[in-house]
Amino acid sequence: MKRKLKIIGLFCLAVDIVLFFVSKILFIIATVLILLAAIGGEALLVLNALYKRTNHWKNQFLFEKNFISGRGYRDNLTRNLDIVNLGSNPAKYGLFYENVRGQNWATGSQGLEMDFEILKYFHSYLKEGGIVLIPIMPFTAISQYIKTKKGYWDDSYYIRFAKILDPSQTRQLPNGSKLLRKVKYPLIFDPLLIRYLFADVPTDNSLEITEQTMSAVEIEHDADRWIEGWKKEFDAAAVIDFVIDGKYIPYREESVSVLRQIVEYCKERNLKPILLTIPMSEYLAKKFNADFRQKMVYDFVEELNIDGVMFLDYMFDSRFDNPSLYNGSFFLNLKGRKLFSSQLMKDLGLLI
Amino acid sequence: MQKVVLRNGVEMPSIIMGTSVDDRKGSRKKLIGKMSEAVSFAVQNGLVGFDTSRDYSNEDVLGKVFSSLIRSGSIKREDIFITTKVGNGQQREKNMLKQIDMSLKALKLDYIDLWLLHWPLPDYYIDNWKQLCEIYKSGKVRAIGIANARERHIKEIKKITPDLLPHVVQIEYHPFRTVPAMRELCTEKNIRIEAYSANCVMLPFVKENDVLNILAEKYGKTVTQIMMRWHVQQGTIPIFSSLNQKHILENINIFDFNIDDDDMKLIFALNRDYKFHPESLNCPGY
Repeated sequence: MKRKLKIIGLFCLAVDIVLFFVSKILFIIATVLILLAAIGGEALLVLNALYKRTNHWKNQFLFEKNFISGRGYRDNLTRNLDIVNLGSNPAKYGLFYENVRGQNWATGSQGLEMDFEILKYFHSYLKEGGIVLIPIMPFTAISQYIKTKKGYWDDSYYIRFAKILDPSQTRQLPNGSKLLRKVKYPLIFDPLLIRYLFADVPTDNSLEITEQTMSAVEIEHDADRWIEGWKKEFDAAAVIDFVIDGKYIPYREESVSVLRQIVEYCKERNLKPILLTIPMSEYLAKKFNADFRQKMVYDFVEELNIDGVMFLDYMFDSRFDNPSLYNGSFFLNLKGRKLFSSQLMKDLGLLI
Repeated sequence: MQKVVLRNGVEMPSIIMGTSVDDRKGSRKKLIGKMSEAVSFAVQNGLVGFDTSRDYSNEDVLGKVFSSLIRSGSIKREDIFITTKVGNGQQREKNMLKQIDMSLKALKLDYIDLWLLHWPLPDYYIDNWKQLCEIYKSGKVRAIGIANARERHIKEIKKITPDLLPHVVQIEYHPFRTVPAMRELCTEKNIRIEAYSANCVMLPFVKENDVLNILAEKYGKTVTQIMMRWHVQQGTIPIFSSLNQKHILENINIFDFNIDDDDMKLIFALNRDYKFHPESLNCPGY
C-alpha cells in the first residue's frame, strides 16, 4: 500500500511539473488538488492508526497474546509447551493453563480448518510429545455445514486469523489478499468505523468474569437461545433433525476427514493429539437427549476411528454442570474454567 | 583450517561464517563495506566457508565482495566454499534452474559449493528436490542438501531419490538442542549436519550455564569457544554470524585444544530440545 501511494505521489508530481510548463492556471488547480488529496490521505492514515487503538478494534484480537509470531519470537523465549488446545468458543472459555506450560489456541468462533492452519503455523512451540487437545463439541460433527451459509464465515470471521497466521496462509483464505490489507487499514475498507473514535465500546473482559451473571430464568432462556441459534445455523426444524436428517452426512464426512488430517499431522510430528469434550451447564445439557449425544458426539468419535488417540469426555460430566461455574448456559466462567482445567491437567498427568 | 569431507568427496570447511546479519536498516553501501571488511578479515584468518540465502537479500552484496577478493588475488575461487539456499517464495515458483542461475549471477560465480532448499516446504520440496538432483548432476553445484529437515523429510526424500540423499542438512543444533534421532539418521546415511544458531544465539541461559562456564574456565576458553569446539569435535559444521572482528576470531580460534570425552558428554547432556527458531513460523505446515 505504502509503495502504491509513493508511486501515485510521484505520478501526481510528474503531472504537476508538466502542467507548470503547459498552463499556469491548470498547474495551480492541480497543485491545490494534489495538496488536498495528500492532506486527506495522510489524515486517513492517522485516523486509521487511531482507530486501531480503540477497544472496538482491539477486542477482536485479544487472543493475539497467546500467539507468538515470526515477529515476536526473538523477544519471547517461551518454547517447549507441554500442552495447547485448538477449538472454538467453548475451548476459549473452557481451558486455562496454570502451573503447566500451556497455551489456549482457541480464538473464538473457530472452525476445524482454522484449527488446522493455527496448528500448522505454531506447532513448533510444542515440545516433542507435547499434547494437542482437539475439542469435540455438540455440533463439531456437522460444523462444515456452516460453509453453505452466507455471512457466517465472512471477512469478519477470517480477519482474526489473518492477524495471526503467516501471510502465505492468509492468502489462501477467501478474500485472503484483501484481508491482509484490511488488517492494516481497516478504516479505509469501512470508513464508518470512525464512529468508534468518538464512542468506543468497553474493553471485552468476558474472560475475567468469575461468576454466573444470569438468574435461573435467564440461564434457561440462554440455553433455549443457543438451541434456536444452532437450529437456524444448521437449517434444522427440531433437535431431532440433527440425528435423522441425511443432509448433514457429507458435512459429517468432511469433518471426519479434516479431524483425521489434524490427528495424523500431530502424530507425524511426534505430538500427542487428544480428543476432548468440554462441559456445559445442566440447563443446556438437558436440551440434548440421549440419541443426540450418541449420534452427534460418541458415534462421531467412533467414526473418526483413530487408533490410539485418547478421548476424554466431560461434556455431560455432573462434576462440572453446576450453573455457578458458567456465565450463561454454555461458557465456563473463570472459576469454572480453572476448576475444569485443573481436573483435566490432573487426568492428563500434568498436575499432581 | 581443518576440513570435513562430504559423502561425495567434496571438502568443506569445518566452520562456516553466516551472513544473515540484520543490518538492512543501514545503507547498502555501508553494508557492502562492512561485509567486505568482515569477509576479508575472515579469509585472512583462514576462514573460507560462507553461508547465505536468497532470503537474506545479500547474494549480490557477497557477489561484489567475493569478486573483489578474487580479482585482487586475496583468494582463489577454489579456496572458498559458498553455500546458498532457495527460499520458500522461490520454491513456490517450482523452477530451480532459474533459481540457481539467479544465484550464480548475483554471487558472480560459475558454481555454488553447496546449494540447499531453505525449508522442506510442504507440497513443493519433493519436486524441487528432484530438480536439485538434476542440477547437481549438471555440475552447477558441488553438493546439495536441505536446511531444517527432520527425519520425516529425509525419509520422504529417500523414497523418491534413494540414490541421492542430501549431502548436508542444515538445522538448528547446539548443546541445548541435539536432536539425537536426527543425528543418528544422518550418521547412518552419511549426511553431514551443519549447525545454525550454533551457540543458541548466546541467550542469557546459555551465557549463564554452569556446565559451559566451568568448562570454559577449565580449558581457558570462552563459552562460545567451548560450544564451537564441541561442534567441530563431533563432526558437525557450526555456522556463526558476526561482522565483528573480535567475534570472528573468537569463533574460529578453537583448534588449539581438545574437549575430553567426559566433558563432551556433559555438554551433550545439556540437551533440552530448545528451539530458538520455531520452524513452523518460517514454514507453515512444517
